[in-house]
Amino acid sequence: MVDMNTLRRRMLAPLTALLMVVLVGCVDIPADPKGSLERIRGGVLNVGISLAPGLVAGTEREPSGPLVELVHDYAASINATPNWTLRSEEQLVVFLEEETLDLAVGGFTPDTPWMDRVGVTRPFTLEPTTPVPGTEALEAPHEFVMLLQPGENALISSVEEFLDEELQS
Amino acid sequence: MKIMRVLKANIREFPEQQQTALKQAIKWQIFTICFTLVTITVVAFVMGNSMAMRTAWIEDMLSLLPQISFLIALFFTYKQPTLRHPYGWHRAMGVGHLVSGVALLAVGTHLGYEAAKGLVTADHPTIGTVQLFGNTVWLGWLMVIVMALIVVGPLWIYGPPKKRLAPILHNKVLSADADMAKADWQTNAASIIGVLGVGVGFWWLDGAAAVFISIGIILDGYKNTKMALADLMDQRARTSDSAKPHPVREDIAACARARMWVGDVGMRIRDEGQLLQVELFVVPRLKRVSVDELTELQQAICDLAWNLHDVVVIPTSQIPEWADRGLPFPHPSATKSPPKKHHEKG
Repeated sequence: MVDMNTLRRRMLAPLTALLMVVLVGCVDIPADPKGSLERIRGGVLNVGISLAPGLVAGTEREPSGPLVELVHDYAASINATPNWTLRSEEQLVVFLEEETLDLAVGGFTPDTPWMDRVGVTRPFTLEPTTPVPGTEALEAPHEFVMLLQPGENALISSVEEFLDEELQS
Repeated sequence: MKIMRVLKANIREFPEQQQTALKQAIKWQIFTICFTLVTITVVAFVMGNSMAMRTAWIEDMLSLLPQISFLIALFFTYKQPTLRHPYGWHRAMGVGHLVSGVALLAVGTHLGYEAAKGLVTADHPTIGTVQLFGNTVWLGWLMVIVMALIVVGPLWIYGPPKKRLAPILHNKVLSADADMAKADWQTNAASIIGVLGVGVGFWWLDGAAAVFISIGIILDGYKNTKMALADLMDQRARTSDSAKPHPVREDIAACARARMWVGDVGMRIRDEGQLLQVELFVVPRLKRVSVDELTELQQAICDLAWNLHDVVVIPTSQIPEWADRGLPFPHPSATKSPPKKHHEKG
């Protein structure tokens, strides 16, 4: 006759496994504590841009550059309309902290010092392509990151997944 | 190698049971260190920005301290006593124990403070994705899988054998190490809960888990520091899990009282780290006692247990008040002071 304690211990592993399966299946993991992705999907994506040669150029009304194109395509992929804000890097970080912006792109590299204050994607590589007329061209493969509000893990995962697909092909 | 020759020469002085246990303990400690180095490396790759994972990672590194100090102390304890170190080097085990305890206490407190600060300033942990075999996977899943897998080491592989070996060797560092290994599952469970909590949007669960793990580290540090300090301060010898006074005290008293020439006995036993040092105060029935009788008693006591290595028999006219009379617990006269000797005139 097996006693209760042994029974409990033996049930622990399979129960935990079951819990994990339920979690994966029924619950959306990862989630956004502030519901960013839910709000942006089918709505407005507030993007901050900071000028960087070969990456981001133009004006607030007509931004251009490879990074801007990526953000355009990402917004389209989740049926969102981008709303651009052109500022310095520091100002963009402050806006992210104040939750005015959802995403920021520019000359942010994997060594960016802003990682202590806001969320940062993992590094992605931009290959040199035919330059958009009127902008500078990238001369070598460039490693970049994008900044987001800290802890919005559904949004950051969605962005990284999109960038994986876009930049693989 | 000279170290191995010294070790082997001195291990042979132990009885066979202790020799086997010691060799096994050394092998388990080396295995544990290797296993821990691997888990530290793996966790470093997956821990990301999770405070709970980082705390668990640092706890993993701290767990190396009792293991390394055990091995270093072992080498020292086998050096023979010299003029300069007449008590030998056995205290090295206690020193190692103290160093581990204090390190756990200090680092645990720092980690707890950092985790609590993160909770107060509402730091939301950012946990993104990684590319694994062409798929984009949430890093949190990797964290959960790693923490679930590495728990088998301390819980099922090397924790139980060390717990079994500790009382055979009367080694407190080993016993404390085994206890910490057994409790490791709580750290892993807390990290898993913390990461999954972040996954469903409860950002504060990560910080809460980190605080929970830090408290565990602080408690380990406190317990080990207290134990090590007590022994270094020459408290009376206790069992290897420090649960109660060492039972050999009753055997010693019985052995002494069995001798015809012995009137009253009192003793003090201190734990030098594995080996016990005994000072036995004896009031002889008659005013004289021969060197042969003293030597015979000393030898008989040494033979009582493998780790009674330093026994001193002191003939005296009165047993000191603080001496242990070696009576079984609980015994009414064990707590009372010894009866005063009345010197009647005439």
